[in-house]
Amino acid sequence: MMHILDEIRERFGAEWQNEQRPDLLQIGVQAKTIVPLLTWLKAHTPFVQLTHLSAVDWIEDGEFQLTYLLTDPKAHVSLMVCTRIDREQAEAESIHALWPQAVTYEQEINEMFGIHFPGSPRQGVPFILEGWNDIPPMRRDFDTVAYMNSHHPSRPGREHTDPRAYIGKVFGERGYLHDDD
Amino acid sequence: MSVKHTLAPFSAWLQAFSKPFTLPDKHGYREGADRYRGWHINDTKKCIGCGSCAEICQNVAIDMVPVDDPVKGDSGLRPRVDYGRCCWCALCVDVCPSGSLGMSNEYIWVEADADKFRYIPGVDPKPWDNAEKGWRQEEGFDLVDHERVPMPMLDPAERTKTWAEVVIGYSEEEARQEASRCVECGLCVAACPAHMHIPDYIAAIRDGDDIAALNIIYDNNPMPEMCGKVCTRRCEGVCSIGVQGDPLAIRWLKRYVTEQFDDLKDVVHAEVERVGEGKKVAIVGGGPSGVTVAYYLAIRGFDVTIYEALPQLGGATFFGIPKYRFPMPSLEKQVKLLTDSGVKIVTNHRVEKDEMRQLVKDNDAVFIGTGLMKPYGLRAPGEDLPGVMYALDMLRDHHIGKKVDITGKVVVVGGGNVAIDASRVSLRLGAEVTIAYRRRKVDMPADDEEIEDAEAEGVEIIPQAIPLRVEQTGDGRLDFIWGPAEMVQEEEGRRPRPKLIEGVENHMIVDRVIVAIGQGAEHSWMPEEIAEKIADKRGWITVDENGMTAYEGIFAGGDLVNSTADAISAIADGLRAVVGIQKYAGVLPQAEDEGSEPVAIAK
Repeated sequence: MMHILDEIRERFGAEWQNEQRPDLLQIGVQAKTIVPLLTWLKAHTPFVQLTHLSAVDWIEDGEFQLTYLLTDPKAHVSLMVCTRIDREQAEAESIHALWPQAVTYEQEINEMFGIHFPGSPRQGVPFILEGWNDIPPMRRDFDTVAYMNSHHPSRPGREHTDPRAYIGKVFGERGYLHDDD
Repeated sequence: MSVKHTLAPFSAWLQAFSKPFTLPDKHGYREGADRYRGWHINDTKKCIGCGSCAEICQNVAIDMVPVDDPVKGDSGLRPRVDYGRCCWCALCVDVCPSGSLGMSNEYIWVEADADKFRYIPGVDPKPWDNAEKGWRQEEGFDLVDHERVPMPMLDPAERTKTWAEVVIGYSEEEARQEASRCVECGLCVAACPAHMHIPDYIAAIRDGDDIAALNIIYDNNPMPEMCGKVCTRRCEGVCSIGVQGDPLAIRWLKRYVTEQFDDLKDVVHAEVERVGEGKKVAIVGGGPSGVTVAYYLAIRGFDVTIYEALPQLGGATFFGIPKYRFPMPSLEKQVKLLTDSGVKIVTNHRVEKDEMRQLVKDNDAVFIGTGLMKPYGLRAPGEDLPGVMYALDMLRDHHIGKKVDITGKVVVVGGGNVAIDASRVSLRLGAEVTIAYRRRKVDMPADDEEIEDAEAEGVEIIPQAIPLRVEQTGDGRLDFIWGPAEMVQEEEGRRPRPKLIEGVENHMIVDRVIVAIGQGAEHSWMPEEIAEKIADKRGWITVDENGMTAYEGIFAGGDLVNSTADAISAIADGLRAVVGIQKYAGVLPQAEDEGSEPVAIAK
């Protein structure tokens, strides 16, 4: 199956490629290549089915990764086409013209990560979040714990003992360099 | 009110006889999948109460609650899960450093009261407690990093050629990476005799703030570079990451921080009231306990003088620990902070009886930290022969610059750190070294790493070897005669005792026999009226919860007092006396009089 990766690299260019399992190939390409590449794959190769579209927040790199999972339904082999986009200008071309079900994936990613797919029909329409007024929750700078604490008060009877502080207190930990220790 | 409302109760009753809209469950109970994430289970014997589960839970569904008294290595806390919040993501299971937490494949639990869905797995009995199936941590997918960043070390073949430090030390990148493995549970704080703020300085190292880390370290340890190199590191023995992986390299991280600064004066910031101005304290013995008392009292304005018999402070860490483990510049740097803080140091000065009487008169308090300087004898015939020597004397002479007469083949008797140090120093002096130890290798009190290092350098260890006698051979060498021992379990729970197998004699022809089987207290310098009052027959000194002896105004600490006889316990003793002396001198600030509840230690 490796020849398909070689062909992609030749026709579209590739930043990296990998055979994770015999039935799972990965290739990394530039974002501008996505639509022509997926169009070609759908038209000229057995990878005709869009199985999944997902995103990853690489906050340290200032980028999002989009992964398009295509499948050859006869051979049961999948191809992950990965690309990175800028985290600040989080925008990617829509593929809903190739696979109509991409609309739902793009709607979900738009809601969860705040990545915009211009032209995709249901951008900005709530998917599973209702009345969300915070940053998109799958962005890694979203503070889940703080959100939970501010939106969902605990039931009565909850009490947490922090092990670090508790041990210090029980064993008489103290300092000698400052008077207020 | 309409007719419909009037008839409603009756029509409802009519429904009771009609066919239900819901379908009966044809399958009955269906077992959850093998790796289903159902109600939690916890092996509470394995759980150490580190709280990583509560820390990682993004829904704040887990509380740590006290179920038992905290002990070293176990906070006594256990997780309680609130299923009003849990989303069964299993991050708690995947992060669990001890691997005690799991999830059963049970998913049915019916209650009328919503507040009932909260329990302590493994403590509050549940039908699924022994479920074999369900979600468990899987090797390779756990969320804590089990592998320690390896410490670069000199090649064993190179080491014995020089006195250079064997351990090279972490680079900045290595230190930050190692520090990031910490889960900040604080179990180490309980195990450290001085209760150093370990998770806090590790967090500062991880965050790249070495100055903060150094100040956190100096908050209750004035000899951290020494501890960073040679500490017995009880902390690492209880590290939660160590349950399934390598414990955090706490000692090496402390070492990393202390090595970043050449001069400590402008980096360590004491912010204490100088409550001790006008008060005088004398310290007899400049080991870790005395240094601790001196430093923390001096920054509080006390007029402190240390009297030390040897040419340098440091006690056993100076004269006992070889320089390839703890080099002089490291010690000197720490001593300089003392003098910079106003401590007066009188070295090469052994306090004798009359002077001690005078010190007691002239000072508001006197601290004794003279350590254990009298080596135990071999208790076998021939120990007075020339060529038989004590490790403690040999190490001291070597470290104060006297020539040490080590040559040819050497046998070191003992299994503690002193025995290992004497062996490795002898190697470097050109000898061929064998250690004879009366118990098994696993019973050796010496640090495991030290034993490994010694063996890597070429020291041979003969375990279960009991010295019988030493004889002189015709050609002026020594015949070290030993008998094999078998291990006998006399009492359940105690370590087995070596018993001589009678009738077998092994001969080892050597040039030197170095005895390293322990050391005791020596009080010949002390006025009788003081010694009688504070020391027992064997020389051990008992102190109260303030570190004070039975003689009013005389405090004590270090190997003389505690049962662990290591540097960090000596520092802990010193810290106790810092508070005790302030209290005794009537200058302890009110706020500091609370908090610590030290326990009197009787040996």
